[in-house]
Order: sequence, then C-alpha cells, then structure tokens
Amino acid sequence: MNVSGLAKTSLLLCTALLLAGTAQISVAQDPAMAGIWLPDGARSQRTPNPLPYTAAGEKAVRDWQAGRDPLEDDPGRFCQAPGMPAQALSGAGYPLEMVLTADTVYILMELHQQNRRIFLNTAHPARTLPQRNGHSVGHWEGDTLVVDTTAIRPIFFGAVPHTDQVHVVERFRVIDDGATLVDEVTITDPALYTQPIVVERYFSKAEDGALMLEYECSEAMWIEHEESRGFSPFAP
Amino acid sequence: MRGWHVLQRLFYALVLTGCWQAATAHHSPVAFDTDVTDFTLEGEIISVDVRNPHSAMTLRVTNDDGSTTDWDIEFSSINLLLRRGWDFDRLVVGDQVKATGNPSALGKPEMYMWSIILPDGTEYDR
Repeated sequence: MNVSGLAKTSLLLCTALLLAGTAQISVAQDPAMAGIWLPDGARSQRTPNPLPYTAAGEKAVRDWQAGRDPLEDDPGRFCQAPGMPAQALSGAGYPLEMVLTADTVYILMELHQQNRRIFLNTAHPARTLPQRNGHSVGHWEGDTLVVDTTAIRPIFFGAVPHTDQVHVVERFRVIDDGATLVDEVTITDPALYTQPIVVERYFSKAEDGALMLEYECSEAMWIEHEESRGFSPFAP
Repeated sequence: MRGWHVLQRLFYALVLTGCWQAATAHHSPVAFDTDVTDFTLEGEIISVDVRNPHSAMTLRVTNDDGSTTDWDIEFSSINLLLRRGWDFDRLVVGDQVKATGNPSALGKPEMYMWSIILPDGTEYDR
C-alpha cells in the first residue's frame, strides 16, 4: 500500500469510527429504564410550600383564585388533568410506564391517562402549539435521559401554577441496581417565581406482571348525566 | 298526563337540587374535614360503585330517633384499591359495615372513607 492508499484507508476508517460513534450516541439508553414504575411517596421530595413567588406572581395567582369557589370551581370536578409540570410531580400513587425506542421515549401515565412523547435528538420546532403537557425533546447523557419541555399551556391550578414562560428540564436515571427510577424536575418560570423549583421524584420498579390500568375519569360525569335522564348508561 | 308532568317536574327538581343519585358526585378534597380522620359510621350498603376517579357508596345509617339517613360515601379509585388488595365483590348491597374517614366540611351527610370493616371483620383501608 502506498502513502496515498494508506491515507484513504485511514480516512475511511476514521469516518467509519466517527459514524459508529455518532450512531452509538444517538441510540444510547438505559434499557433498565423501560417498564412500569410506582411512585415512592415516602422517598420523593414534596413540592416547596410556599412556592418561591415573585410579588407580582403571587398576586396574579391569588387574584385568579380569589374569584373562584374551591368546591364549585374545582377543576377536578371536570376531570381536568393538571398537565405539565404538575403531572411530573404527582404523588397520587398512580404508576407510569416508560417505553424506550430509538427516536422517541413514551411516558404513559395512568393518572388521567396522560401520554407524553419525548422526541430524541431533535430541537423544539420554531413554532409550537401550546399544549397541556407541552412539547418535549430529549437526549441521553450516558444512562441519564434529559428531557426539555416548553410550550405548556398557562394554568394557575395544580401543584405549580405557571405562565407560558414556564420551562421544565427533567433528568431521569435508574439507580439502586435497577430498583429505582429518579426524576429530577427543574421548573423555571420567571414571570411567577424568583428561582427554579427543583423536586426529586422517586419511583419503585413494579413487580413482574404488573399492569397499567385505564383511568377514565369523565365516565362518572357521563354516568351521572345518564342517570339524571333516567337511563342506564351501560348495555344490558 | 297531568300526573306525568308533575312527576317529570319533581324528577328535574331532584336533579337540579342535587338530590338525585347523590352517590355519583365527585367532590373536591376541600369538601371534607381532613383534620378529623376517625369519623365513623355504621350502616347498610344501599349502593356501591367502584370506579375512577373516586368510588362512591351510599350507606343507610339509623339515627338515634329511629329515622334513617342515606350518607354519600366517597373513597379511593378502583385502580388504587385494586393494587391495595380490595376484593370488590365483598362490598355487598344489604351488608352492615363500619366506615371510617373524614366527615363533610360543610356538615352534609357525606364522608371520605379511608377504611371499611365488613360483616366478617375483614378490614380494607385506603
């Protein structure tokens, strides 16, 4: 092999290694993260109380709440899921399922049957439609899944009232030899808060054979309507 | 037909006043006095519906004067109760049970139930 041939071979080899390395980075993930996880309320941190409001933020939220009756106007009566970021902080005891693919991570939450899609190795689009769970992109840093969520609809109810400036970064990783999933949630919203809100949530691996169940919250509202009309809601 | 219209109006009046199928209601947590956790009722199961987001039961309780009151009992979701080992077939209409939990914060015949003792002594909680 002459010098020119050696250079070409080296170039090809380097290119192949580079491509292989890139491919490895793009698909790197921790397969132990896949599966069903149950919230560990005892180990998880609680959302700070009080929240670190700015003076203007506290007034805005207080004004929003002031005109509402906590019973009659409770969004829960209408089966309203809080969406992000409160959905990531829920300690209600309902499991979530992590489904890992090469280009998307799906977080399927039993509570309110919420589904989050984490689009991997891509950027947020220039224009996003505000949604209750926002738009999430992510990437793997070794065995840690880093998720960035924006475009969340501004909502003043739930654990963390927020404006359209809210931004959530989560770092998921599996610890305790695969027994525990931890999600470090960092919420920033300069329109309401003086500092980031950081909460660590812990989940325990569900036993083999565990199942996710449906959570049809609004069924009760429909049953109530049917019965109020003198009907039996389900087929005989 | 006039009788029918009267019944129809009574029916809608019941609906509008919330008296119809009170057990189907889904209350905000602030509807209950969570500082009181040992509020206890003993009575007969009139209806039970285990579901999401909260389950509902009507318990007929005999008062001191011999009259009865139908209490609207709310409790946890079917999903969580299933994982906690509840056997829903054992919540039988007609059975006498003891329910413990939070009373209404508004003085209504309502409670949020955290535990129940069945006729054979079996206790389910949460």
